[in-house]
Amino acid sequence: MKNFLLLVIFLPVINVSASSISAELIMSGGRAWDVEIIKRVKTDQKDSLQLSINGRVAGIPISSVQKINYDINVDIDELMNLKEEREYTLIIDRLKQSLKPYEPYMDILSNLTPYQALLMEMYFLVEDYNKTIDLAQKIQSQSTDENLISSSEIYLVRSLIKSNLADQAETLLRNNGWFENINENSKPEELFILAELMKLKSNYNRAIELVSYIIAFNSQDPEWTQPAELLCAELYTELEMYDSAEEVIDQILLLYPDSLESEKAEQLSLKLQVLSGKTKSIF
Amino acid sequence: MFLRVSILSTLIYLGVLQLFTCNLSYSQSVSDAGISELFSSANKYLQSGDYKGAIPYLQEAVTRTSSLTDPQGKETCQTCRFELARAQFQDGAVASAIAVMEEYLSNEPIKKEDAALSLLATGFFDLQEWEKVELTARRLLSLDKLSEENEFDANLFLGQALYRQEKWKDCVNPLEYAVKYANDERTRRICNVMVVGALVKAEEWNRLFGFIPKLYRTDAKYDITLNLTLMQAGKSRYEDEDYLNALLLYRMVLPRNSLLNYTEELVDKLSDKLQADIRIGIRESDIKKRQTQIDSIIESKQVLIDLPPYEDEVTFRIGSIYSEKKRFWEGFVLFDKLYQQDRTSEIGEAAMWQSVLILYDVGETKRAEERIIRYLEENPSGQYARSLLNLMMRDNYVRQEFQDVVNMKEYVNIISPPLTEEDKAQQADLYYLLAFGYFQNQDYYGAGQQFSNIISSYPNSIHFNDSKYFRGMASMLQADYINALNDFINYRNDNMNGEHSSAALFRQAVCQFGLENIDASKALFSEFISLYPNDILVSEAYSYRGDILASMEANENLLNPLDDAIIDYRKGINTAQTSLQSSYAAFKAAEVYKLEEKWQDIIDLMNFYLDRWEESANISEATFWIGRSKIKLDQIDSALNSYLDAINRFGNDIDQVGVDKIILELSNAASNLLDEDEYKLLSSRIGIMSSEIDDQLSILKIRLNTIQAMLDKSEDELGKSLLINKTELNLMSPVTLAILCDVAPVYAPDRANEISDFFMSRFDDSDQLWKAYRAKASQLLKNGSENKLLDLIDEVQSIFGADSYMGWAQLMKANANFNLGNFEQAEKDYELITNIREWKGSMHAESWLKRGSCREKIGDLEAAHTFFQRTYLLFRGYDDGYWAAQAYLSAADVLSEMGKNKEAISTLDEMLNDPYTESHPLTDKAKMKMELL
Repeated sequence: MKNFLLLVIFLPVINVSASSISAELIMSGGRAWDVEIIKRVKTDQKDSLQLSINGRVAGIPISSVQKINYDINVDIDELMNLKEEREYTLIIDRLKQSLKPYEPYMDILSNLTPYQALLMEMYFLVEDYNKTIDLAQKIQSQSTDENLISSSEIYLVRSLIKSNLADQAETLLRNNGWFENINENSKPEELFILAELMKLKSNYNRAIELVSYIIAFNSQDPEWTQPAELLCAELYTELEMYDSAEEVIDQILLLYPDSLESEKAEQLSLKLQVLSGKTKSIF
Repeated sequence: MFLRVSILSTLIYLGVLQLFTCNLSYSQSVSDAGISELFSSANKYLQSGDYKGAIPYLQEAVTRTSSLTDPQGKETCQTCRFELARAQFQDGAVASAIAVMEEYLSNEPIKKEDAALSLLATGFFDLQEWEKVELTARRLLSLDKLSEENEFDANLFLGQALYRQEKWKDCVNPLEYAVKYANDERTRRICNVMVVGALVKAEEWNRLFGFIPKLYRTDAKYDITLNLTLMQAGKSRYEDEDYLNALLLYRMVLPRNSLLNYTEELVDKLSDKLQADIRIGIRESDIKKRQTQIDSIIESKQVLIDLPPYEDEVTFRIGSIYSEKKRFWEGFVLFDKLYQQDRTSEIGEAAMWQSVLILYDVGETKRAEERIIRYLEENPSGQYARSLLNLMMRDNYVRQEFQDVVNMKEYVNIISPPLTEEDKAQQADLYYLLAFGYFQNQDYYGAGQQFSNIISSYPNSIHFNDSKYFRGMASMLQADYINALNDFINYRNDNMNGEHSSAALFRQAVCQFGLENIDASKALFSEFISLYPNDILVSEAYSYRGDILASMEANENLLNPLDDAIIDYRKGINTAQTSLQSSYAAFKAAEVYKLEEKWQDIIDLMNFYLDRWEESANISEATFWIGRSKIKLDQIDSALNSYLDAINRFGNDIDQVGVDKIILELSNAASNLLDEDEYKLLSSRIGIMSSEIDDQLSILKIRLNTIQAMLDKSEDELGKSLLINKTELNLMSPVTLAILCDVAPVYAPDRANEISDFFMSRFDDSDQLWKAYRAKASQLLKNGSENKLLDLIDEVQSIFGADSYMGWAQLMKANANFNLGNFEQAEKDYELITNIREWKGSMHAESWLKRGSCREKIGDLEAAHTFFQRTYLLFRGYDDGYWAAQAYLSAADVLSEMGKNKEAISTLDEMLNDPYTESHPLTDKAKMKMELL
């Protein structure tokens, strides 16, 4: 406490501007302070927060802040509804707008990480893999939440794979030990990502075997079964097993109507018709 | 009267007002009680929770007020009815309560219609009168301004009532409403199960499969009853062969352990919470309700525990459906799991079989084979052993991996003997596959053995008859014509209309030909031609008969056999169904014409053949014959032009063996028929052709270089250049490889075997293949591998016989036997050489000398001396007198051995004075011997 007081330099009472941010500071010692953050002062010599505590302006070194809990005004239910409707770009805009005031403080551990994680997921869904990678790395370096770290690892690797960076993805997976003892009991996310990697490396049989583990042994897990079935259809197509691919597509359309997977399955179905000679290519 | 009633009503109304506010403490007979006393008593009992006690007062109050007609009196009566019904419900007198409540609802005013309907529905629900529950719930739902609670209750009643009446489609919406708004887990859980059950019964698959993923995003997926419902529905769909829906239902069923683990945790959690709340203090009814909920979960858990093992069977079914739906990999991983789990159980073995089938389907042949071999080694008596062997052998056979088929013989022999007819049929299949594996590998002996297995042990097999035919083929291809003939005759006798009946007759003719029963063969070919004029083999029959006729002497019955042969060959060309059949007839006819020197006829025949077969004809070979004929007709320029044109057109195709014939013919014709200027001109034309062609036409370029080397007699240089440049062997045709075989033993002995092996494997029907054998033989001799050498010589002699260029083989054979100490055999081998005119010269000289050596080794010194003498007298001029000199020395040795030193000295003296040997280096040896003598 004494140490903390020494760090706080009180200035005369001033009016807090409208652009200040309401927040709860969790200090290194565990104490919580309700404050208005005015701005961040970052020079070569110091890095501190200028804030108002009970109307008094004070400066606190960033190093003494353990975490900031912002009073952020984001309607998460609405965002989830938009996600259901696949309005990913709209979610990105909303989140960017909501997070904008916090940009100068993003490197400080805070309660914003779940929103960043959602933003990361949205970037992935709109196929902006560079931004996904960037956010995933930030989350990994900042967050202490194991779920968020794990999720960011997944999006990081998947983005590397989608960016055709097979070697980087493989190195990362090896470092994480994902190649060890991979079998039908492995986690669906591990199986899925390894299957994507195998697909990128044109090892289609291995890829489809891995993805089949998800479908066959984790079919009650819609989060991974849906994308797994789409990947499975794509792999059957690569293997020129067009009848099998059509079966999977039919099932996706039946089971997951109005989903991202069903939309992509319909596109794949058109491609299949050309490949299997049922429709003549216009080219 | 009206006033009295009105006063009474007022009193009662006031009493009713007091009903729930007064707290009376007295009790008296109901019938004696005044109306206000009735109300206060009823109120007292109701407030203390003694519904039973309140009922008589309320009943009496209803009786006394039911006749009132003014609004206040009616309302009072209705209020009493409502309270009476409620008390009766609470007391468990459901039927009475329902009657009172119905009366309430059929009178006015109905101020608590929603509550009354709700209670009525509860009553009907308790009595399981589902139609009435439905009607009541629907009436409740039709009310305006329904409270959320009542709307929920109404939907819950309606959904359940419809479900109970098996109105599957109708019940889903109200039940889904109940799921959405229920505030307790138990209700949600039960409604979910009913929704799933109803959608299954209604076969509303799309709706079901839309509902379930949402359900599975929550912990509802762990509901045991829900899982059992899905599993039961899956089973039912599967049994109705509705596989897709069965699959999708089965897929939703969680593993038993997951369900049990979750449920145990849930029971613990709910029990702990209940105990904690009991300690804090909660109502007994709540305790009872929550305990009932826990008990029902425990009960559902027990149902699952008591269920016999189902997981493996369900897994197998799901795998089968995936496989059926061509989702092979999904099927594979499921079967694989069962197999890895227990390889020896019945289901494990069946899963292994299915997994192997899928591995073949998806092209993972290596994995399939590893699995099969593992099974056969672990379980040679397993029920799938024979089927797996069959599968693997058949697959290898189709992929033409014949050695792999043959390699399975060891497993065919270790599996348990077949007992049932089905097993015997399968075992015969295995032998049949094995037989064809050997057959295609050209191991006809091995093939014959396997066909014999079927013939001797499996008379009921579908392959029994065909095995006779194919054993005949195997024997025929081993030149065992007697056994082959028997099999073909037997086959035809037993299967006059069999698939191979015509072919069996044809092969009989071939066997008779092989047995040199030419007349019988000719008669059989004639019979075949007459019986099967449209058979695929008829062209070959004509050609064979043509061959026979061409080899026959003319007689009074056969005035002009060559002309008859030509007629057959022409028919052979006409009836040919493949270009190979036609080519054989055409070129054999050309051979016959050649004997008669009918060169123009050859040209006409070749043009006829080329017109008939156009692009698929062997154009280069035909060109060769046309060119050769033109040369004979003195149309040299035209012939050479045709040759060069054919070489240019077809020379880059390594398989156009006719080009090589043209090259050899061109080389011979040039040296025999062209003068020096013409010869140089030809060489120059070839040089220009070679320089003008694209470098990528490597094969043509090498062929042209070979012609030039042959014209310039510089084959050694060409051979050395090809060796130095390490030119790829697959760019060389037989003419070039033959040159390489000549030079390799001298200049690159380490590559001699590689080159000759390549030549033998790539062009096994080349006329020049003997050069490959010679190169290989020389290496064997050099390495002292005489036994292998003798085998090789047998092989090459069986192919090329004793043609003029084959003397080397016989000489090597004789020398090998000599080196092995087989002197008698060696002498016979040498003797054979001395009897063949085409091999005269130094080969004869060597053979006479070596015959002498053989005799000397045997101890027949007189004869040995005679052979030596014969050598130095008759073959002095060969090889600079070498053979004569050797013979002199050997003769002297023999004479000395016989104790005839004087004659020996005389012989050596003769050698020193013989003009052919006097300056030979061996004279030094003669002089030394003379000194010793």
